[in-house]
Amino acid sequence: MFSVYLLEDDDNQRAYYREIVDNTIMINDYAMNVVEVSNTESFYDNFSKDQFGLFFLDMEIDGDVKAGLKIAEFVRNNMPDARIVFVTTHEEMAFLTLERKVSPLDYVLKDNDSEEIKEKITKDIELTEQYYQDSIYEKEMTFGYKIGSKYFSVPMKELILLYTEKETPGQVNLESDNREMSFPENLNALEAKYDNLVRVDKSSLVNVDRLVSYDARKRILYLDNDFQCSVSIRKSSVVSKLFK
Amino acid sequence: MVYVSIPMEFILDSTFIFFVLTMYTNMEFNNSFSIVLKNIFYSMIWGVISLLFESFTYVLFLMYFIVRKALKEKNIKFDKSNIIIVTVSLIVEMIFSLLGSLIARIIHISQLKSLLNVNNIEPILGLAINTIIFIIVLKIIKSKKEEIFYLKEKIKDLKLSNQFFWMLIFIFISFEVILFIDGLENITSVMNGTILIIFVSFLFFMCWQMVNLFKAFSTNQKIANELEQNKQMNEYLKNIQEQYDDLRRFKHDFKNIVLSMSVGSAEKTGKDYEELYQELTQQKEFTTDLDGKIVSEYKKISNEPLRGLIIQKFFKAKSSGIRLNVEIIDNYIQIDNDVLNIVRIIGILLDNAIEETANGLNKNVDLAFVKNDDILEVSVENSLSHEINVKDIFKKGYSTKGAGHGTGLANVSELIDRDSNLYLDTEIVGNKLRITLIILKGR
Repeated sequence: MFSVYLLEDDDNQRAYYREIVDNTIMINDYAMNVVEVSNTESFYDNFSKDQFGLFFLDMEIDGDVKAGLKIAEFVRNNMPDARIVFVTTHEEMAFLTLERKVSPLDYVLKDNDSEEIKEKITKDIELTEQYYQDSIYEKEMTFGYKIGSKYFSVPMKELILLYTEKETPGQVNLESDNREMSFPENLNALEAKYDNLVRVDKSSLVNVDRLVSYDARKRILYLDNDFQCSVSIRKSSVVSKLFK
Repeated sequence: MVYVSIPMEFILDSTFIFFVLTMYTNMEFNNSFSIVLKNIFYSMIWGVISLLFESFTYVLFLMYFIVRKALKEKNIKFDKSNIIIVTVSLIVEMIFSLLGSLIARIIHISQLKSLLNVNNIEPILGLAINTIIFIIVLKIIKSKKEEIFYLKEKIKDLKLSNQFFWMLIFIFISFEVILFIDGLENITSVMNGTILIIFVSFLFFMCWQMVNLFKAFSTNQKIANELEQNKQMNEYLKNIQEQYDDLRRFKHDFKNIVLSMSVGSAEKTGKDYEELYQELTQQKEFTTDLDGKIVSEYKKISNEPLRGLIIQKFFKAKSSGIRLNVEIIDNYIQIDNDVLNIVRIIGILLDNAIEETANGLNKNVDLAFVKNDDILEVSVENSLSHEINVKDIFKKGYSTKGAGHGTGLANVSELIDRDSNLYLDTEIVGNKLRITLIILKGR
């Protein structure tokens, strides 16, 4: 059960979106309740800091072109898992900027015809429900880390390997299915924090669910996506046992 | 040289090394008290070593620095800028001590022997003069910090480090040989003095020539840069002119269409208006963004080198038929530290993206500057053509360094590694490759 928020200052449009959302919920019998809001103050009043939510946000509210973005940032900070959809007319939108700042689920362009808009909104609700069932409800793990004050996360099932290099002390490198990144951290802290990550050697921490095979003679552990790492003598037997 | 007793020699050599080390650490801008203590300690050790090795000590001293640096970088081609500073300090100090003993000898011969009854007056006097000169030079070094730093960077940039290094080594060895010869019996002090004076004057002459050469080199570089800038400026103007022409034609057509709307409007049907509307909206000028957007956006970047780079890449992309879309939501973007490194990295990322896009169908590259509290992110995104296997970008053996798939990313990795405030985020989002440079502000 989660809330679907609609932020739109134009009454007619908002009513139109409300109809689409209500229909979708009714047809699929989803467990969602709808919160309709027409300006930014009442958004903050009506916002409930739950674990999850779906937000359809108009970018320009009462003449302020950055209103939608500010609301989106607020939502992202208070509800890291929220699904955010921008509904807007602005063609010259800074898509890449929005992706990095807010990671929206989708964009709905008002200039498209009504059939397309309806399809998109419906699709977004269905996707969100799917994600909610798979991840939030089942409490799927994410691997989270920070650079400065910015929070990043990678679904645990996508994480393959964490390693350090001696040229860059104090930094951990991450390899996952779709992402490669480095951040300031140490492997000891990460090893302690996550049960499913195994320390196979001084500079490698692997995800036990992404192992492929182990060459005990050369002490090389093979992982998904053609990654591999060396294993220390001490850990060799531990790694071998993982394959039993 | 005048024969001196062992404690005297120890003092002379330790202070010599101390002066060298102090000049060196000052030119490297390491000024703390602990460094001074360290220098004193090392000077004592080298003073003891000098008792054993005498004239060879300084050669050993230099070799110690060279070997230590080579071992640290595990490479024969190590960064020579530190060694250059050490060698310069050595040579300079040698000149000072020679000057000191020369002046001491002159004074000694003329007056003081009768006044003071100390035996070893000459070396002490030499040392005193050496110290005075040293203090003066030290003050000069401290006050000319910026010039020295600038000079160091310039040498590195113009890639003259190697030449300087070998030249200085040569001078140093020559000096050592002359000093060594002095110990031989057949060389009189007059001969040696003459050789030394000639050598030092030759040295100054060479330095003067080097300075001139240096200036000529820099001027050349400057001219080359200006030529490049002019070329870019011309391209930019050409672009503006083309846009102006397009807009002029559009304005002309637009006027015509509007006029034809007013003519005999009673007879016009809805269908006619529809046709005119279609005609208008089909025009390229109506549908495409103005290139001018880049002109207004780039002003938000306060660092000039970065601004120049973005504009340059914009036009470079345009000439390949690619649109570089620059997004800057915040009102101003400023990079405080390490600007040139960051500009270099962004340049490589953009070159990469433009190159890959030239081969594909989607001729768009997105560049975004995203500011958060303590982080500035610079993201470059481009579509991947079908030939590139998405997983290939991340596939690599654990032991290889960087993702050098001939895309220049290996250089970026190196630049990132050097700075602990820079991080790289490489993502595959759908069929697009997005690489983000994350700049952590402040320490």
